[in-house]
Parts: sequence; C-alpha cells; structure tokens
Amino acid sequence: MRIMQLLMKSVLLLALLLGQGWAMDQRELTIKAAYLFRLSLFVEWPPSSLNSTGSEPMRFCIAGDQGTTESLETLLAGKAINQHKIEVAEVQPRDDLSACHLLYLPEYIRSPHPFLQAAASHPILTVGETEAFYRQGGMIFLYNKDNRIRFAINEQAAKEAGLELRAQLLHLSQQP
Amino acid sequence: MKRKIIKNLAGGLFALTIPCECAFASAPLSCDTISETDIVDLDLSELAEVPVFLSANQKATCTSQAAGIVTVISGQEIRNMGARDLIDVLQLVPGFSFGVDTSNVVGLGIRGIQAHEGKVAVFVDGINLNEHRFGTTQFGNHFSTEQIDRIEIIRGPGSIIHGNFAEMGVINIISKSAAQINGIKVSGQYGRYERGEARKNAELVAGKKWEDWEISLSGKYGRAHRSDRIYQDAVGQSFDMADQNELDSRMINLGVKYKEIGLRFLADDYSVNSRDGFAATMSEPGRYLANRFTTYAANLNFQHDFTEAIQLDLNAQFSHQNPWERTRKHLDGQPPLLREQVFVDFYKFDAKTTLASEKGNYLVLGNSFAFNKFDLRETGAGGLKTPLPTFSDYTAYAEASYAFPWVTMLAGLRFDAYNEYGTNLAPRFALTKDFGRFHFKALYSQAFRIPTGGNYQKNAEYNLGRPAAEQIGQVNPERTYTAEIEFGYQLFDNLDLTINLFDIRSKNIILYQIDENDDDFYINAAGQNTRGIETGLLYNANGWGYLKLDYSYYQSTRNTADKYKIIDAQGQIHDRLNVGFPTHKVTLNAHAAITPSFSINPTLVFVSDRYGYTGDRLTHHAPSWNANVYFRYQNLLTKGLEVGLGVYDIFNERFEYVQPYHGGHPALPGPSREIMLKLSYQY
Repeated sequence: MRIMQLLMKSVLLLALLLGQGWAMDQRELTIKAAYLFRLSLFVEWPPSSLNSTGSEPMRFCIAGDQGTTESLETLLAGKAINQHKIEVAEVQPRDDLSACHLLYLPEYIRSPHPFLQAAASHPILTVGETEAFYRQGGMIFLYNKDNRIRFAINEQAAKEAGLELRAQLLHLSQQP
Repeated sequence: MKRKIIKNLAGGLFALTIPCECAFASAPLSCDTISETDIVDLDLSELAEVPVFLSANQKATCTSQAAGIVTVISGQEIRNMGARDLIDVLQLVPGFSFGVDTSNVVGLGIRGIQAHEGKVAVFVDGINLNEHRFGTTQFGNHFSTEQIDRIEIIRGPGSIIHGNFAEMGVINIISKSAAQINGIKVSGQYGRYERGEARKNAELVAGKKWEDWEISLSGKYGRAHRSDRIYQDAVGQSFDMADQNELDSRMINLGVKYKEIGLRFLADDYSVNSRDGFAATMSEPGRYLANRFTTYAANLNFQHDFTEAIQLDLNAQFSHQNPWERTRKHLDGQPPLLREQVFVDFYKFDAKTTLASEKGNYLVLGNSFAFNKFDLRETGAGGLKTPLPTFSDYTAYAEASYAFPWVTMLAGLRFDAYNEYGTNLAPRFALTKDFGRFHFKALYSQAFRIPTGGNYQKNAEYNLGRPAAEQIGQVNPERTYTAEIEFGYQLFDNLDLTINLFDIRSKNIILYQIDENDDDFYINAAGQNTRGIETGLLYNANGWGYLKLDYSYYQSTRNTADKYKIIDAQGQIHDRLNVGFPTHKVTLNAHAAITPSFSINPTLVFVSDRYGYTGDRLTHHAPSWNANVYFRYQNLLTKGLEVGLGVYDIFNERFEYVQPYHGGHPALPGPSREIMLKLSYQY
C-alpha cells in the first residue's frame, strides 16, 4: 500500500513537472513594464495620433492576455508620457487598433503577424518578444541576454509607421 | 542606478537589522525593493543592469547582511499553492514544525525546540502579534493570506534585532502596498473534509494611491474546523471533531501613508474552541472551552532622509490585547462562564539614526523604551487577585557593517535594562561574502527570552496559600547562543543549492510545569541544545514555473528537561530526539503554469517519526507524507475572476499535531483530506 502511494505520488509529480506551460514572472513583467514606459519617452507620435496638449491618454494595448494587461495596468498606474496619462487595454487581432499608441506582444504571442497587420495602417509603436515578431516588421524587440532584458530597434519599421525615434534610443539599442 | 540601489540596499539592511519592527513594513529586502517598487522608475541604461531572475545566491546576498539564515516566500507563491492558511505556507520552511500546545491551540517549533511560547516573533506589517501575556502565537485559519506581498522569515535567532519573543525565529508578514493593490479584491474559500465542513472564509483587500497619499485595507472573516476525526484522550474518552473545535478569525488591517508618515491599525480577533481539554483529559460532556485572543494595535512611523546617507526613523507602537480569554460554554444553552480574562497593554517608542555610505557600509545607532501593563480582570478560583507589576525595558543598540574586499563584516551590540530582570548585553557577529555563483555566511548571535507577565502571574499564583518553605521564586531570563554557517552555489543559471549548519545552545530555559495537584508554574531548567543541517534546492524553469526542494535535520545534543525527553517505562529511549519533532523533514513545492491563465501547484511534505505523550504514556507517530495539489485559473470568463480548486492531504495521511513537550495532551488530529474551492474577483 505504501509503495503504491509512493508510486502515485511520483507519477503525479512527474506529470505536473513535464507539463510545460508558460508564465511570466512578476519581476520580469515589472522590468518589461518599465521598458514600455521608458521607451515611449523617446518616441514622437504624429500630431494626428497624439496632440501636444496632453489632454488625451496614451494608450498601451496589450495583445491577448487579461492577466498580463491587468498587471501592467497596476504597474503603470499613475504614469504619464509628456502629460498623457497612460491607459492600458487588452486587444485581440480583430480589434480596431486605431486608438492604440503602443502595441505590446508578450512572448506567448507566437503568431504576431495578425497583430502586426492590424497595426500596420496606424502610427503604433510595436514592441514584441519573439524573433518572429522582429523578422515580420516589429519595431522594438525585447530579448533576454545574460539574465538581463535588452532591446533591439527596427528603425525602418518605425519610420514607415510615421514614428520618430530619438537618437538616444537608437544609441542604447543592441542587436540580439 | 547606483545611488538608487545603495539607498534601497541600505533600506533593506535596516529592515532586517534594526530593532524597530516598523521598518519592515516600509523597507523590504533590497532586491525585492528594486524589483517591486523602483524598477519602473529606472531609466533605460539602468534597466539593462537589472537581473531578471534572482537566484538564491542573489537573494542570499541581499539577506546575508541581515546576519541570519533567511527564507523569503512571495505572495505569488502563496497564492499559487492555494494556501489555506499560514500552516500550509510555514510547513514548507526548513526546520519548522507545528504541534499542539493545549486546548486546540497549535503553535510552532523551530529546529527541534518548542518555540510556541515566546520564542518565535510574528509581525504583520511591523506590528507584533505575539500575545504579550505568555508570548504565544496561534496558527490554524488565523492570518489572512490574500493581502500578503511576501513573508520574510529568519530561521534562527532574532532577539538582537526584534527583542523578546524572537529567540528562535522571526516571521514577518508584509502586505501589499496600496499601489500594488490598486483596486479591490474580494475572495471566498469553502472547504470540506470527508466528514464535515473544513472552512468558510471571506477576505477583502483594497488599496489606492493618490499622489502622496496611500491607503490600504484588508480583512478576513471566517471559520474553520481543526479536523473531522475522532479525538481520544488519555483515559479513553473521545469526541467527534467533525464540525466542532472551531477556529474563528476576524482580522482588519488598515494602513494610511502620507509622504514620510505611516499609520497602521490592526484588529485581530481569533477564537479557538476546544473540547479536547487542557491536558490529558477532555472537557466534560456537554461543554467546551472557548479560547479567545484579541489584539487591537496601532503603529505610527516617521521616516526622514536628511541625505542619501543619513536617515532618521521614529516609531510609536501601542497594542491592547486580551489573550487566552477562557470561557466555558455549554452545548445545552446554559449561560457561558468566564474563567479567565487578563488584558495587556503594550507601548513602545523607538528612535534610530542610520548612516550609510555609497559602498553599502553603515552604522546604526538607536534606542527604545517599551512597557507592558497587565490588568487581571478574572483569574478564577485560586487566581491572583493583586495587580502585576508593569514590566519595562529600555534598549540601546548599535550595529555596523563594513565591506572589506574579501569579506563583509557586521558587528552589533544590544543593551537592555529591565525593571524586573536586570540588564543584558547581547552581541552578534557576521561574516558574509558573495563570489558570484558561490556565497557564504558565518554567523554568531546571542538571543534571549525574558519572562512575561503570564510567567510571573503563574508563579505568584502557585505561591498563594503555600508556606514560605514551599514557595517558588520567579523565573529568570533564558539565553541562547547560536552559531550558523551557510554555503550557496549556483549550479546552473536557474538551479541553486544552499546548505546551512546550525548549533543552538540555550541556557536557563524557561519551562512550563504541572505538579501532582494540577497546579502549574514555570521553572528554569539548565539547558537545551540542538544542531543540524538545512538544505534548499531551487529550480526556476524560466517561463513556466519553479520547483523548491528543501530538507532539514536536527539532533538534540543536550537536554536537561525531562519535559522534552523521550522516556518510556525503561527510561530515555532516544537521546538525540526531542518530543514532538521529526528528525527529518523534506518538502517539495512545484509550480507549472500550463497556460498564462491556468496553473497546477503540487506540494509534498514528509516528516519522519515523532514521539509524544498521551497522559504519561509515550506514543510513537509514524512518518507521514502529506500531499496537496492546487489548480488555479485566472481571468476565467471575465477579467479579474479567479477560480481555484485544491485537494489537500490527497492520500489521507491524517497528520497529527504532537505536543512538543510532555504536557499529557494526546496528539491532536489535524485535517484529513480536504477539497477546497476558492473564488476571487479583483476590480
């Protein structure tokens, strides 16, 4: 009986441990939230998208997951970019993204293309975490190197969307 | 970045080293401070230097300078495991063991030593929740868990930092800040044993930050049952614990912060109903005893940074407690009978100054004054009718840390002057160093346990009506000398191993006694020593979960108290083991996030053989495996809705709380298999 129980315990544990899934650590998400905020400080949106009076909010759109959106909302509560208060919203590929100023595609978005396509006709800063995102025309690629988050920039993609990236941002970026 | 980290590092060090509990609430561990609070304020170049995954080595580096062996459990981990209460969380801590004290009250032992009565300090947001009459803390559906940001645990001496009650360990529960909460969360738990209700709890967490103002509120209202099994006393009487032996908790925690001023109120009303009785025999049929523990506390803190290097911290704390209020209640509706009621008012004022350099070296100077006032309202037949003295303590302390190229050296000294117990000078020393993948700590500290008003009262009561020749004196302070060494090695980028050794030598230990007439009192026994090893293995599977595997071992190396010995009719049968404590404990907690919303979290706890007493008869308790699994689904159907389903004690091992001293109380049945559903909604 005891051996049977031990066996059951082992099987249970193994099954759980082998069931690979995904989750973003809170610390990692905090660092990425900080990046989204700081990166936005070095970007200029066209006046048609964001006026200079600060009356309208800066909208960060998060692809796909309510949990991540909620966490980012908490982390960025009270933050503003040039007097534009940050608002965080969850979006899906079929949503109208015209109100977004930044589109964040976390690592679990394995097919970034539908999101990038939806954002293509708007001046939206796209930030993603997969190589596929970067290859398919994403603007800022966040990646992990030596246990630190780095970022790489596709300046051409940003220009094509009508966004202007400041030189300091380009200087700090590193190709993966 | 450098300045910010230095400041945070100093804040973290102060939190763990200075004898002002208030610091904990506002200044968490250095690494965690940077991660949770300040990361969003770092600029891009600084962000590029922030490590994503903090290895155990890095955490140890943060905590090593606290001169203690430290465990930090995050609120995320607590919610991932679906912890029903703090027992589920703390049983995973190496060296920690739960046992029954008396009358359905369950407390904590550490490293083979009974710590429940005044030897482990519990703080919630800087407020000490030990009852100041005997120093106990009570576990089982007591503390709320939803609001917890993290629990910082010192698995060793903490008296020099935290004063009395911290001789063997410190548990510091830190709630989420208002900014972290940023909204309202309500949650409910409902659990059932096989033969009755296990628990029904409701919790609320709310918080909001408006510019310089921060307000947070959390609360718990609930009832649980210790077990659904049959309790049998030493003379063969029994009762069914299903739907009896209730554990009722009501707790409110309100924090208000404006700039550098923090104010916190905490109300804790915990009741433990008991039919199992005080010692060998259960309550008479048709009645039970209600033990009630209430604390109403307030804490006012002012912290001012004159410069990056000079900080002033002022703190005032007050608590009004009614611990161990004992009321006899009848099942047939007869009016309740108040048996015992003693109020304790605690006041503490603390001021400290910290000078820190940019290299992390620091000097702390401070002093505090505290006193306990007792009001004996009802002490029953034979109880003391005259007032107790007020017990006061003036403390002065100094601590310095200096980082040499090859080692960081810390030295601290604490001086106490008690109005009833003379003076005490306690030192501590620490050598720590982090070499990247490898770190070590070598620690030595004195700790102490000063007799409480409850100890004083019991001995004064014992002397009532006795001739002078039979009277006993008051007990003296107990002192403990602890040496610890810790080594840590990061085997791979996401796999860490830590090993620590400890040697504890207690002298003049304060020991509870009951004589042949059932009169109880306290004595000093010559000593009790233990030593052992604790190991921790942490695997962080980047992206999808983690696994923690811990082991702890202790052996008794000296024991002069028969109360703690394992003695049968033939004499002492184990001289390396203390009553109630397993020699070996292995714990495993794994977390697998199957999707961003859905996770599975299994827990396994193994404890080896234990011995206890039923009356005067020695009892053997076989090793037990306790397995739990918790399934958590976040954002189900709508944003903010979370559903959790837990199965606890999957294999129905039926853990028992063995009394960790020879008090005659048979082992108290613990929970059997339980299924619990938890719902929460945050908006």
